[in-house]
Amino acid sequence: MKKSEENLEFINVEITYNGKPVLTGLSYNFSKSAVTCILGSSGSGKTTLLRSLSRLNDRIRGFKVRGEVWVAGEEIYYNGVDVYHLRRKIGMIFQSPCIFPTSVYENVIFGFKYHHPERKKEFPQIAERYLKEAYLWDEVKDRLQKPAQNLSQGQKQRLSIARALAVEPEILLMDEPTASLDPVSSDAIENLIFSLKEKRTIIMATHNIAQTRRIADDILFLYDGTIWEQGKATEFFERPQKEETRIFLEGGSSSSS
Amino acid sequence: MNKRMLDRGLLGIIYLIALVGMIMMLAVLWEVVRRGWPALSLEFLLQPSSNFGAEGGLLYQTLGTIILMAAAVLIGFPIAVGSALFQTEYVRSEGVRAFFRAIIFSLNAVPTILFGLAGYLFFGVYLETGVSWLTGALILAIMILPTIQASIQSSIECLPEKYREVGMSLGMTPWALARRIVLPQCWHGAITGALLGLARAAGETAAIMFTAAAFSGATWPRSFADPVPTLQTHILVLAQDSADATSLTHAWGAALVLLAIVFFLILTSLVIRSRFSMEAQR
Ligand SMILES: Nc1ncnc2c1ncn2[C@@H]1O[C@H](COP(=O)(O)OP(=O)(O)OP(=O)(O)O)[C@@H](O)[C@H]1O
Ligand SMILES: [Mg+2]
Repeated sequence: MKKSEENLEFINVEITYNGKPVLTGLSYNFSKSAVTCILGSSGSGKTTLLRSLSRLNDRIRGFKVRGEVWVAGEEIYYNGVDVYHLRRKIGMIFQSPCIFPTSVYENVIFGFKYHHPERKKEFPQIAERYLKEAYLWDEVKDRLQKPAQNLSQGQKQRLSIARALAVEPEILLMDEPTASLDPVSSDAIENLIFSLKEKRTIIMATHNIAQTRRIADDILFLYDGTIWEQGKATEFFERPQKEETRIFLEGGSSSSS
Repeated sequence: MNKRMLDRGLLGIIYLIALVGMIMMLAVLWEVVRRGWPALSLEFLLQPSSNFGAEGGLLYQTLGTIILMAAAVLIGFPIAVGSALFQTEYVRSEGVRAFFRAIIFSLNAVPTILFGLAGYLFFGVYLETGVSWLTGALILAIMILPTIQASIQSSIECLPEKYREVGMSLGMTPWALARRIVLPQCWHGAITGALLGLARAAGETAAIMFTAAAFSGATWPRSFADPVPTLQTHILVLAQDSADATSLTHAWGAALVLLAIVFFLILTSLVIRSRFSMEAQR
């Protein structure tokens, strides 16, 4: 069975670590060019869900996915899949920014350079374009050759986003991208996410409810190892269907304010 | 006795042991310097030896030792890098990794005379290459492999997994991860390993005695099949001639030169290690 090129879907997926199920009965079709937020308390499987979409857990022994995970018209746990090609189409932003100990410039073009070593002449343009897209250009344009290690935490996170964007992914996974940032840097990232969703599908894990209200189009709520509730963000917040969801939303808003 | 006193007591014992070790090392150093110093001169360093080392200097011996060391590291280094990367980046099964680690450790524990003997039997007797510097370098390469590889591997294992994950998420293959992410961040470990390997090769006598070393008359090698004179074996020969005072002084002089080479290498490796591991942790 062939799916459309833009399809991003779980069909009856179960994810286990060493035989112990973490997520079961996942079925969901992500909307494209939208921000889908994955909500859930700590340990509910948000990170696991994101990482399963680009097979980032391949190195972890005992990790297993059953069922079908469709990305861009391919079932990605099928044997013949080219993982490296898959991962180019799906960028990942990690919870705490991970920057290579080189210059800002080398960091931005890191992935691009690897995939297109022959387009050497374009490297400076690429660096500028994606630093601009990540709203970082003005802050770093005079220190491109300086060590990226000296940037602030929020700048580092935007740098890692620029680096992921430079590989031109169609889908961007973000695992609590603002969790280690101050409110100002968080705002910068949120604005960035807004502008990115025009061209890309964004899936973001978070347990920050206020933030989810601001940027989510769709919401997946993980509870008890499965998708407990799903839907459009507006409806989800106005009329949560289940008791557990309501408790989570209230608990979250009272603790974060 | 309370906890604090116990703490202090243990700390005292540790310091004491460290101190004893230091003093013993310094005593050896002092003895070598004291006895070798009179032999040292520009002539001694830059002239070939004559009359079985009792006269002249140790130009070719020093050259021979350096040739053997350098060749051993040139051969051993790429193999060590390859095997360290193979174990850390490609092998995923814990069992297989443990197996490789066991091999490396046992290689490290083999008495060096066995390397010499095995090398002599394999190259000298079976392949009939005779005594040659290349044979010696090959044997030394195998011998220092564990030293180099352990240093590289420990620095690779210190590299946080998150760097690899970023590389993976950008679509890199394991080979690309190894070359573009792991090695650039672990090169100080590789250099340290190479220097320690050099130092170990420089101090080695047993493994090259029957396989690579010429005891007199040889100069620099003119082909792969030539033996070379070395400082190590030179010292051995001179020391046996203990009746002759100049031979003995020359032996101590040669020991001092050898010690200086080894010391310099180890010091450099320590500097590199502390300097760059600090940088990597930032
Ligand atoms: N490598 C692993 N091996 C075994 N179990 C794991 C592994 N990684 C995660 N788990 C388990 O899977 C469950 C889900 O973890 P996950 O990291 O996906 O949660 P999360 O929703 O991202 O939590 P948080 O909000 O704290 O980041 C947890 O119970 C966790 O213990
Ligand atoms: Mg998580």
